[in-house]
Amino acid sequence: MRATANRDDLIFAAGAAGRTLTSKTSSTPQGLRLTAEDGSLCLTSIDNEMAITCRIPAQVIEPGALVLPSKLLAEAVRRFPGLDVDLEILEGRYTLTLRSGFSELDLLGMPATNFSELPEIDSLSTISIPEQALRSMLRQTSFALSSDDMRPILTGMLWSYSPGKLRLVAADGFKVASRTENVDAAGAQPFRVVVPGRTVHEIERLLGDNDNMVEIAIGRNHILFQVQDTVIISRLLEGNYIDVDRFLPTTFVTYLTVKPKALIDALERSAVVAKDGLIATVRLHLRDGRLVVRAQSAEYGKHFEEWPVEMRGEEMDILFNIRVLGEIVKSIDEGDIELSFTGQHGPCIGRSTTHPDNYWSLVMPVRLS
Amino acid sequence: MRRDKISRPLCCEKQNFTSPLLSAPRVIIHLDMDAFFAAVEQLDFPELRGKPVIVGGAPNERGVVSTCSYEARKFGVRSAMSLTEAYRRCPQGIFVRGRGARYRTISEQLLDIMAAYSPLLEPVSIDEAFLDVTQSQNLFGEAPVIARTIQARVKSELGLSCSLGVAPNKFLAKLASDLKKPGGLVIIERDTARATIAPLPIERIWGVGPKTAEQLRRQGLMTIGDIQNCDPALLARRLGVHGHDLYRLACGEDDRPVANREDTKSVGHEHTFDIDTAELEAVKSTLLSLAAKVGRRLRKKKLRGKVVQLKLRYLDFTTYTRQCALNAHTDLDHDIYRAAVKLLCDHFDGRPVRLIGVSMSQLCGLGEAAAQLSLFDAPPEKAQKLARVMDAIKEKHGEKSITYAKVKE
Repeated sequence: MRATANRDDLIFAAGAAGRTLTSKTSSTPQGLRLTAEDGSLCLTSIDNEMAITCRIPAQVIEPGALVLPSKLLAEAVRRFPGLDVDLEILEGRYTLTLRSGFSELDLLGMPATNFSELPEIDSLSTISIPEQALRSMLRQTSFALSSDDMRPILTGMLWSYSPGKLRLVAADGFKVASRTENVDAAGAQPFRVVVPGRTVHEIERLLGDNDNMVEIAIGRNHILFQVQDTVIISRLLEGNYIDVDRFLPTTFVTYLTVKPKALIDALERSAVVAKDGLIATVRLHLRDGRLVVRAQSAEYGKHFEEWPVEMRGEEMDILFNIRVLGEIVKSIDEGDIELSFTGQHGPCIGRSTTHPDNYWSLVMPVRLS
Repeated sequence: MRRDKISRPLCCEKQNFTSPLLSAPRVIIHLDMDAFFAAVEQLDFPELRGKPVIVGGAPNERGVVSTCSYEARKFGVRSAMSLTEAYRRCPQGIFVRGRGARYRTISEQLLDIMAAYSPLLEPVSIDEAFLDVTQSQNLFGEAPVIARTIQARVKSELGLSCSLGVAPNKFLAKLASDLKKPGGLVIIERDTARATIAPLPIERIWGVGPKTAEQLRRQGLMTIGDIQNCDPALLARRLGVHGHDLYRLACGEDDRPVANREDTKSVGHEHTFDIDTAELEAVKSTLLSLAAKVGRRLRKKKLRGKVVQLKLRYLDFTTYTRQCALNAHTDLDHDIYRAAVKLLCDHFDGRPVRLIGVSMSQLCGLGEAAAQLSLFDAPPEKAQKLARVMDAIKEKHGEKSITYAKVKE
């Protein structure tokens, strides 16, 4: 194999494809496969949950392939001085020689023949969505993914498509987030699949603030995302996702409309003192058009503030976990947040006043025992 | 805060209430119970007195001697020796399994006695503790007087014998308590410390195990005195960073403070099966009883944990630990059990199991008992009520008075 590629392209590709090679996954990673063919270099890694492959343009003089251990390539290329990197594997040898500027580095590899093939996607349905739209959807939902191994299905995100609409849902029982977006995909079949949380976070990392289309293909057991030159193929989680709409209340007793920034700032002031016990707790008290935010701890002190707010309905005195409520408020990306309360111990619903219909989140309060 | 002259604590009168770094010479007491477990057995069962008692298990069991009475030591029985070997040396010995709960109760009473003389109390193990009495001497008299009082109280209130060492630091205090066992009280003075410890073998130095000892002996260093006469730089070259500490200890210098026990980091229990078992149901049943013990300890200490760890040792001694994080902190038996069983089922490979253990970490005090409500789980009130009732029964009738039906003893 002989090829030349841009150093920055190579850093990006080795980094992106190397993401599955973390020690956190329980499988033994097979390494990073490097393939040179038809004017491009292709870097691939696979673990038991997902495969990431990243293609970059390259001047290929002689095709070939090699598997390199772990993150070696990314580490090596990042330290090269030149703009371009020459890659070479001598016939019959398993050493990759990298040259850039005056430097030369030989990396010991393994033959690529034993490398697992990427799973075939029996594409049942295909949709596409602009990067920035998907990014906004994930930003508003991924925070609600559960990390509780006892309910594995909730560690994934529900992706459901019905003609014209893509909906993402994440829930951990303390909070729920649901976001819908219009997606124009003529003839795509409806689907309802659960994508592992880790895959969701990987996709989120790749997305930029642009209008490039992300291609999404659903198979029986896998989902495929193509974000520009990077492809992620992930296993789907098995099992039935809960019907979160069942938990969406219909009657409320109190409504509060407030600027997200103002409430987040108040919560952060509360967090300064609320450090006792298991849960950092804040108390919201709504009465006669005024909101009182307060927190206290025996050890650190107390916080109190009161401001006039836009509210309707009954008086409400309710406690929240500061972090959980904060995530709900931060998830509003446009306009004010409207919080609708069902009672002191019941769910509270958050929506944006600008887009009240495409997004809602739910947060459960805290109870003193 | 207003400070009256009258209410000022006595120990401040002499103006020696300075920071430990600048303070006057320290005085540390080290207390070590004599043949603790065996002595407790002889205390509770008078028929065992004067006989060689070996605590650890039956002679045909595997396992080791945890303690033996002085009568048994005459036959060459030692702690950590295998039970079979102990039986070979002392067939007339009385082998008992030991009663951990009873020993712990007495240990707590012992610490209560010691705590009366200084708040700076550091338990080292179940039968051993350090007490810093530097500031207490104004209240209770000179350190040797305090030590003698403690020794007498342990004898009269607990009916047990202990050995004490009084010295300017922890290392010397521990050395001293070991010099005249049983029932000894040895005082090592600052000025004579160096000479007093010089004839002792090098193993007496903290951190010198068989390997280091061997290495030192090969260089002709047999006693602590030999090390005192060594060039510290040479010692450091031979033993690395360790060498410097070694030299300082050999000279009787040790400035580690007596630290009250650190906050509990984890709470765990483990069980070694009498017969290795590959039967999943049997392992699960043991797991439940372990989870219940962990839950009980957490509730007693008013702690909740978030990470459950399972320890699994197969017959060939390969040992695995696996852990998982829960969604919320808990002190409930079944939350711990559920997570532990899931870990077990995910990792159990069918080989016979020798030992199994469960522990909880990422602990947090109860504080203000705020509960994050969840959409899916019913509030844990019922489980909490059950735990409260079971705890109350155990308080009244003993730890073994109630358990889950699934637990087979």
